[in-house]
Amino acid sequence: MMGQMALDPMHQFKVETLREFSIGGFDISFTTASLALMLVVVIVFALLFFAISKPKIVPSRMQSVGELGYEFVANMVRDTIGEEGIKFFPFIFTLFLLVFGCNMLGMIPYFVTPTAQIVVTAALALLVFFTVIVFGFIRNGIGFLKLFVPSGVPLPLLFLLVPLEIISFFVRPLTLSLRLFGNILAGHIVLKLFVGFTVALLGTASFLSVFAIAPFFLALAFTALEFLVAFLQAYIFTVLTCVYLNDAFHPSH
Amino acid sequence: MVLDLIGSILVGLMFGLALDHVLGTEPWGMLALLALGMAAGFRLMLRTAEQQAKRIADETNAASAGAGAAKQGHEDT
Repeated sequence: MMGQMALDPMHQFKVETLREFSIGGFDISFTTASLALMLVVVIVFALLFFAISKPKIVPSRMQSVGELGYEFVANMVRDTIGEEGIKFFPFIFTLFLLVFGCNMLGMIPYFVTPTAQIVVTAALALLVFFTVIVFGFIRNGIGFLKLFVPSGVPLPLLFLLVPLEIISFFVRPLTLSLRLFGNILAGHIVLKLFVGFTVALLGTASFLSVFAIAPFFLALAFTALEFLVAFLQAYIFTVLTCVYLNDAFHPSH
Repeated sequence: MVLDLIGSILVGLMFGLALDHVLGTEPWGMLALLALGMAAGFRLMLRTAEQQAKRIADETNAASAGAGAAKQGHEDT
Protein backbone atom coordinates (compact mmCIF):
# COMPACT_ATOMS: atom_id res chain seq x y z
CA MET A 1 0.00 0.00 0.00
CA MET A 2 2.83 2.41 0.82
CA GLY A 3 4.48 1.64 -2.51
CA GLN A 4 1.21 2.36 -4.26
CA MET A 5 1.07 5.77 -2.68
CA ALA A 6 4.65 6.67 -3.52
CA LEU A 7 4.09 5.85 -7.20
CA ASP A 8 0.94 7.94 -7.55
CA PRO A 9 2.07 10.84 -9.77
CA MET A 10 -0.64 13.20 -8.50
CA HIS A 11 0.15 12.72 -4.82
CA GLN A 12 2.90 15.36 -4.91
CA PHE A 13 0.36 18.10 -5.70
CA LYS A 14 -1.77 17.48 -2.64
CA VAL A 15 -1.83 20.51 -0.39
CA GLU A 16 -1.84 19.90 3.34
CA THR A 17 -3.35 22.41 5.73
CA LEU A 18 -0.94 23.55 8.42
CA ARG A 19 -3.06 26.16 10.24
CA GLU A 20 -6.74 26.71 9.68
CA PHE A 21 -7.99 30.25 9.14
CA SER A 22 -11.18 31.61 7.74
CA ILE A 23 -12.45 35.14 7.18
CA GLY A 24 -16.14 35.65 6.45
CA GLY A 25 -16.63 32.02 5.49
CA PHE A 26 -13.66 32.02 3.11
CA ASP A 27 -11.10 29.34 3.77
CA ILE A 28 -7.71 31.06 3.87
CA SER A 29 -5.87 28.33 5.76
CA PHE A 30 -2.10 28.42 5.87
CA THR A 31 -1.07 25.44 3.74
CA THR A 32 2.14 23.82 2.60
CA ALA A 33 1.82 25.80 -0.65
CA SER A 34 1.68 29.06 1.32
CA LEU A 35 4.73 27.95 3.26
CA ALA A 36 6.57 27.20 0.00
CA LEU A 37 5.60 30.62 -1.39
CA MET A 38 6.91 32.32 1.75
CA LEU A 39 10.08 30.27 1.51
CA VAL A 40 10.57 31.49 -2.07
CA VAL A 41 10.08 35.09 -0.96
CA VAL A 42 12.61 34.67 1.83
CA ILE A 43 15.15 32.95 -0.45
CA VAL A 44 14.81 35.56 -3.21
CA PHE A 45 15.02 38.40 -0.69
CA ALA A 46 18.07 36.87 0.99
CA LEU A 47 19.86 36.24 -2.32
CA LEU A 48 19.24 39.78 -3.58
CA PHE A 49 20.18 41.28 -0.22
CA PHE A 50 23.38 39.27 -0.28
CA ALA A 51 24.01 40.35 -3.88
CA ILE A 52 23.85 44.07 -3.16
CA SER A 53 25.07 44.18 0.43
CA LYS A 54 28.69 45.04 -0.50
CA PRO A 55 28.59 46.65 -3.96
CA LYS A 56 31.93 46.95 -5.75
CA ILE A 57 32.95 48.34 -9.13
CA VAL A 58 34.26 44.92 -10.07
CA PRO A 59 31.28 42.80 -8.96
CA SER A 60 31.67 39.71 -6.87
CA ARG A 61 30.03 36.50 -8.09
CA MET A 62 26.79 37.09 -6.18
CA GLN A 63 26.63 40.71 -7.23
CA SER A 64 26.98 39.86 -10.93
CA VAL A 65 24.16 37.33 -10.64
CA GLY A 66 21.94 40.06 -9.18
CA GLU A 67 23.00 42.55 -11.84
CA LEU A 68 22.46 39.95 -14.58
CA GLY A 69 18.89 39.35 -13.41
CA TYR A 70 18.24 43.08 -13.17
CA GLU A 71 19.61 43.76 -16.67
CA PHE A 72 17.71 40.81 -18.12
CA VAL A 73 14.31 41.99 -16.91
CA ALA A 74 15.07 45.70 -17.44
CA ASN A 75 15.97 45.06 -21.09
CA MET A 76 12.82 42.99 -21.52
CA VAL A 77 10.70 45.87 -20.18
CA ARG A 78 12.50 48.42 -22.38
CA ASP A 79 12.15 46.26 -25.50
CA THR A 80 8.44 45.53 -25.13
CA ILE A 81 7.02 48.65 -23.44
CA GLY A 82 9.68 51.28 -24.04
CA GLU A 83 11.51 53.65 -21.72
CA GLU A 84 8.32 54.83 -19.97
CA GLY A 85 7.48 51.27 -18.93
CA ILE A 86 10.40 51.24 -16.52
CA LYS A 87 8.13 52.44 -13.71
CA PHE A 88 6.56 49.00 -13.82
CA PHE A 89 9.96 47.39 -13.50
CA PRO A 90 9.63 46.60 -9.74
CA PHE A 91 6.31 44.84 -10.35
CA ILE A 92 7.60 42.83 -13.32
CA PHE A 93 10.92 41.98 -11.66
CA THR A 94 9.07 40.77 -8.55
CA LEU A 95 6.74 38.62 -10.66
CA PHE A 96 9.67 37.13 -12.56
CA LEU A 97 11.65 36.31 -9.43
CA LEU A 98 8.59 34.88 -7.67
CA VAL A 99 7.58 32.60 -10.56
CA PHE A 100 11.17 31.59 -11.29
CA GLY A 101 11.82 30.94 -7.60
CA CYS A 102 8.67 28.81 -7.29
CA ASN A 103 9.58 26.78 -10.38
CA MET A 104 13.12 26.20 -9.13
CA LEU A 105 11.95 25.32 -5.61
CA GLY A 106 9.79 22.65 -7.22
CA MET A 107 12.87 21.10 -8.80
CA ILE A 108 14.20 20.20 -5.35
CA PRO A 109 12.86 16.75 -4.40
CA TYR A 110 10.15 16.69 -1.70
CA PHE A 111 9.40 20.40 -2.02
CA VAL A 112 5.93 21.67 -2.91
CA THR A 113 5.70 23.56 -6.20
CA PRO A 114 3.40 26.57 -5.70
CA THR A 115 3.21 27.23 -9.45
CA ALA A 116 1.74 23.74 -9.97
CA GLN A 117 -1.35 24.95 -8.09
CA ILE A 118 -3.92 26.65 -10.31
CA VAL A 119 -4.91 29.07 -7.51
CA VAL A 120 -1.43 30.51 -7.37
CA THR A 121 -1.02 31.01 -11.11
CA ALA A 122 -4.60 32.24 -11.49
CA ALA A 123 -4.06 34.80 -8.72
CA LEU A 124 -0.89 36.05 -10.41
CA ALA A 125 -2.56 36.21 -13.83
CA LEU A 126 -5.60 38.05 -12.44
CA LEU A 127 -3.28 40.49 -10.69
CA VAL A 128 -1.63 41.26 -14.04
CA PHE A 129 -5.03 41.46 -15.76
CA PHE A 130 -6.52 43.93 -13.30
CA THR A 131 -3.31 45.96 -13.18
CA VAL A 132 -3.58 46.40 -16.95
CA ILE A 133 -7.25 47.43 -16.73
CA VAL A 134 -6.85 49.83 -13.80
CA PHE A 135 -3.65 51.41 -15.04
CA GLY A 136 -4.98 51.56 -18.61
CA PHE A 137 -8.00 53.58 -17.51
CA ILE A 138 -5.95 55.81 -15.19
CA ARG A 139 -3.45 56.62 -17.93
CA ASN A 140 -5.72 56.88 -20.97
CA GLY A 141 -9.13 57.54 -19.45
CA ILE A 142 -11.91 56.35 -21.70
CA GLY A 143 -9.38 56.20 -24.56
CA PHE A 144 -8.25 52.86 -23.19
CA LEU A 145 -11.28 51.36 -24.94
CA LYS A 146 -9.53 52.06 -28.25
CA LEU A 147 -7.73 48.82 -27.43
CA PHE A 148 -10.82 46.97 -28.65
CA VAL A 149 -11.11 48.89 -31.92
CA PRO A 150 -8.64 47.72 -34.56
CA SER A 151 -7.48 50.64 -36.69
CA GLY A 152 -7.98 50.81 -40.45
CA VAL A 153 -11.10 48.65 -40.49
CA PRO A 154 -14.35 49.73 -42.25
CA LEU A 155 -17.24 50.51 -39.90
CA PRO A 156 -19.55 47.53 -40.72
CA LEU A 157 -16.74 45.09 -39.97
CA LEU A 158 -16.20 46.71 -36.57
CA PHE A 159 -19.50 45.30 -35.32
CA LEU A 160 -17.96 41.84 -35.70
CA LEU A 161 -14.37 42.63 -34.76
CA VAL A 162 -14.98 44.55 -31.52
CA PRO A 163 -16.67 41.59 -29.75
CA LEU A 164 -13.85 39.35 -30.98
CA GLU A 165 -11.25 41.73 -29.56
CA ILE A 166 -13.11 41.88 -26.25
CA ILE A 167 -13.20 38.09 -26.00
CA SER A 168 -9.50 37.93 -26.92
CA PHE A 169 -8.80 40.38 -24.10
CA PHE A 170 -10.67 38.34 -21.50
CA VAL A 171 -8.91 35.15 -22.55
CA ARG A 172 -5.59 36.55 -21.34
CA PRO A 173 -5.78 35.71 -17.62
CA LEU A 174 -7.01 32.22 -18.52
CA THR A 175 -4.18 31.42 -20.94
CA LEU A 176 -1.56 33.19 -18.82
CA SER A 177 -2.41 31.09 -15.76
CA LEU A 178 -3.04 27.81 -17.58
CA ARG A 179 0.23 27.97 -19.54
CA LEU A 180 2.39 28.24 -16.43
CA PHE A 181 0.27 25.81 -14.41
CA GLY A 182 0.06 23.22 -17.21
CA ASN A 183 3.74 23.22 -18.08
CA ILE A 184 4.91 22.87 -14.50
CA LEU A 185 2.25 20.29 -13.60
CA ALA A 186 2.91 18.16 -16.70
CA GLY A 187 6.66 18.29 -16.19
CA HIS A 188 6.39 17.09 -12.60
CA ILE A 189 3.98 14.29 -13.52
CA VAL A 190 6.29 13.04 -16.30
CA LEU A 191 9.31 13.11 -13.97
CA LYS A 192 7.42 11.23 -11.27
CA LEU A 193 6.17 8.64 -13.78
CA PHE A 194 9.63 7.85 -15.14
CA VAL A 195 11.12 7.61 -11.67
CA GLY A 196 8.15 5.44 -10.71
CA PHE A 197 8.79 3.13 -13.67
CA THR A 198 12.42 2.81 -12.66
CA VAL A 199 11.54 1.88 -9.10
CA ALA A 200 8.79 -0.51 -10.22
CA LEU A 201 11.09 -2.30 -12.66
CA LEU A 202 13.86 -2.58 -10.09
CA GLY A 203 11.29 -3.86 -7.60
CA THR A 204 10.45 -6.87 -9.76
CA ALA A 205 13.88 -8.32 -8.82
CA SER A 206 13.98 -10.42 -11.98
CA PHE A 207 15.62 -10.07 -15.40
CA LEU A 208 13.16 -7.19 -15.99
CA SER A 209 15.27 -5.03 -13.67
CA VAL A 210 17.73 -4.59 -16.54
CA PHE A 211 15.17 -2.49 -18.37
CA ALA A 212 15.04 -0.01 -15.48
CA ILE A 213 17.96 1.72 -17.16
CA ALA A 214 15.68 3.15 -19.88
CA PRO A 215 13.25 5.14 -17.70
CA PHE A 216 16.16 6.11 -15.46
CA PHE A 217 17.97 7.90 -18.28
CA LEU A 218 14.71 9.39 -19.50
CA ALA A 219 14.10 10.76 -15.99
CA LEU A 220 17.62 12.15 -16.03
CA ALA A 221 17.05 13.85 -19.38
CA PHE A 222 13.68 15.19 -18.27
CA THR A 223 15.20 16.65 -15.12
CA ALA A 224 17.51 18.73 -17.29
CA LEU A 225 14.58 19.69 -19.51
CA GLU A 226 12.51 20.68 -16.48
CA PHE A 227 15.19 23.14 -15.37
CA LEU A 228 14.92 24.71 -18.82
CA VAL A 229 11.12 24.74 -18.60
CA ALA A 230 11.29 26.30 -15.12
CA PHE A 231 13.25 29.23 -16.51
CA LEU A 232 11.39 29.41 -19.83
CA GLN A 233 7.94 29.51 -18.26
CA ALA A 234 9.01 32.25 -15.85
CA TYR A 235 10.42 34.13 -18.83
CA ILE A 236 7.26 33.66 -20.93
CA PHE A 237 5.05 34.73 -18.02
CA THR A 238 7.11 37.89 -17.62
CA VAL A 239 7.27 38.69 -21.35
CA LEU A 240 3.50 38.29 -21.68
CA THR A 241 3.02 40.52 -18.63
CA CYS A 242 5.11 43.15 -20.42
CA VAL A 243 3.12 42.69 -23.64
CA TYR A 244 -0.18 43.11 -21.78
CA LEU A 245 1.09 46.13 -19.86
CA ASN A 246 2.20 47.59 -23.19
CA ASP A 247 -1.49 47.70 -24.14
CA ALA A 248 -2.15 49.89 -21.11
CA PHE A 249 0.56 52.29 -22.30
CA HIS A 250 -0.33 52.22 -26.01
CA PRO A 251 -3.98 51.15 -26.39
CA SER A 252 -4.35 51.91 -30.11
CA HIS A 253 -2.73 49.41 -32.42
CA MET B 1 -1.46 28.82 -29.41
CA VAL B 2 -3.59 25.84 -28.51
CA LEU B 3 -4.46 27.62 -25.28
CA ASP B 4 -5.51 30.73 -27.22
CA LEU B 5 -7.99 28.68 -29.26
CA ILE B 6 -9.44 26.67 -26.38
CA GLY B 7 -9.41 29.61 -23.98
CA SER B 8 -11.35 31.84 -26.37
CA ILE B 9 -14.03 29.21 -26.88
CA LEU B 10 -14.33 28.70 -23.10
CA VAL B 11 -14.51 32.43 -22.41
CA GLY B 12 -17.15 32.84 -25.14
CA LEU B 13 -19.15 29.99 -23.65
CA MET B 14 -18.90 31.41 -20.12
CA PHE B 15 -19.92 34.91 -21.23
CA GLY B 16 -22.84 33.42 -23.18
CA LEU B 17 -24.06 31.39 -20.21
CA ALA B 18 -23.73 34.41 -17.93
CA LEU B 19 -25.66 36.58 -20.39
CA ASP B 20 -28.42 33.97 -20.63
CA HIS B 21 -28.57 33.74 -16.87
CA VAL B 22 -29.00 37.52 -16.53
CA LEU B 23 -31.32 38.14 -19.49
CA GLY B 24 -33.12 34.79 -19.53
CA THR B 25 -32.56 34.34 -23.26
CA GLU B 26 -31.56 30.68 -23.17
CA PRO B 27 -30.04 29.30 -25.32
CA TRP B 28 -29.40 32.10 -27.81
CA GLY B 29 -26.76 34.09 -25.91
CA MET B 30 -24.76 30.95 -25.33
CA LEU B 31 -24.91 29.95 -29.00
CA ALA B 32 -24.07 33.41 -30.30
CA LEU B 33 -21.16 33.99 -27.93
CA LEU B 34 -19.86 30.45 -28.45
CA ALA B 35 -19.67 31.20 -32.19
CA LEU B 36 -17.97 34.54 -31.43
CA GLY B 37 -15.57 32.77 -29.09
CA MET B 38 -14.60 30.30 -31.80
CA ALA B 39 -14.03 33.13 -34.26
CA ALA B 40 -11.96 35.02 -31.69
CA GLY B 41 -10.00 31.85 -30.94
CA PHE B 42 -9.07 31.28 -34.56
CA ARG B 43 -8.18 34.94 -35.00
CA LEU B 44 -5.99 34.94 -31.92
CA MET B 45 -4.35 31.65 -32.91
CA LEU B 46 -3.62 32.85 -36.44
CA ARG B 47 -2.20 36.10 -35.05
CA THR B 48 0.13 34.21 -32.70
CA ALA B 49 1.15 31.91 -35.56
CA GLU B 50 1.88 34.95 -37.75
CA GLN B 51 4.03 36.49 -35.02
CA GLN B 52 5.98 33.27 -34.55
CA ALA B 53 6.45 32.81 -38.30
CA LYS B 54 7.72 36.38 -38.51
CA ARG B 55 10.09 35.80 -35.61
CA ILE B 56 11.45 32.60 -37.16
CA ALA B 57 11.88 34.35 -40.51
CA ASP B 58 13.72 37.20 -38.79
CA GLU B 59 15.94 34.74 -36.98
CA THR B 60 16.75 32.88 -40.19
CA ASN B 61 17.55 36.15 -41.95
CA ALA B 62 19.75 37.28 -39.08
CA ALA B 63 21.52 33.92 -38.99
CA SER B 64 22.13 33.84 -42.74
CA ALA B 65 23.39 37.41 -42.62
CA GLY B 66 26.01 36.15 -40.18
CA ALA B 67 24.72 38.35 -37.37
CA GLY B 68 23.86 35.33 -35.20
CA ALA B 69 20.39 34.16 -34.20
CA ALA B 70 18.22 36.76 -32.52
CA LYS B 71 17.74 36.12 -28.83
CA GLN B 72 14.09 35.31 -28.33
CA GLY B 73 12.23 32.77 -26.18
CA HIS B 74 9.96 30.15 -27.66
CA GLU B 75 6.35 30.12 -26.74
CA ASP B 76 5.21 26.53 -27.00
CA THR B 77 1.92 24.83 -26.08
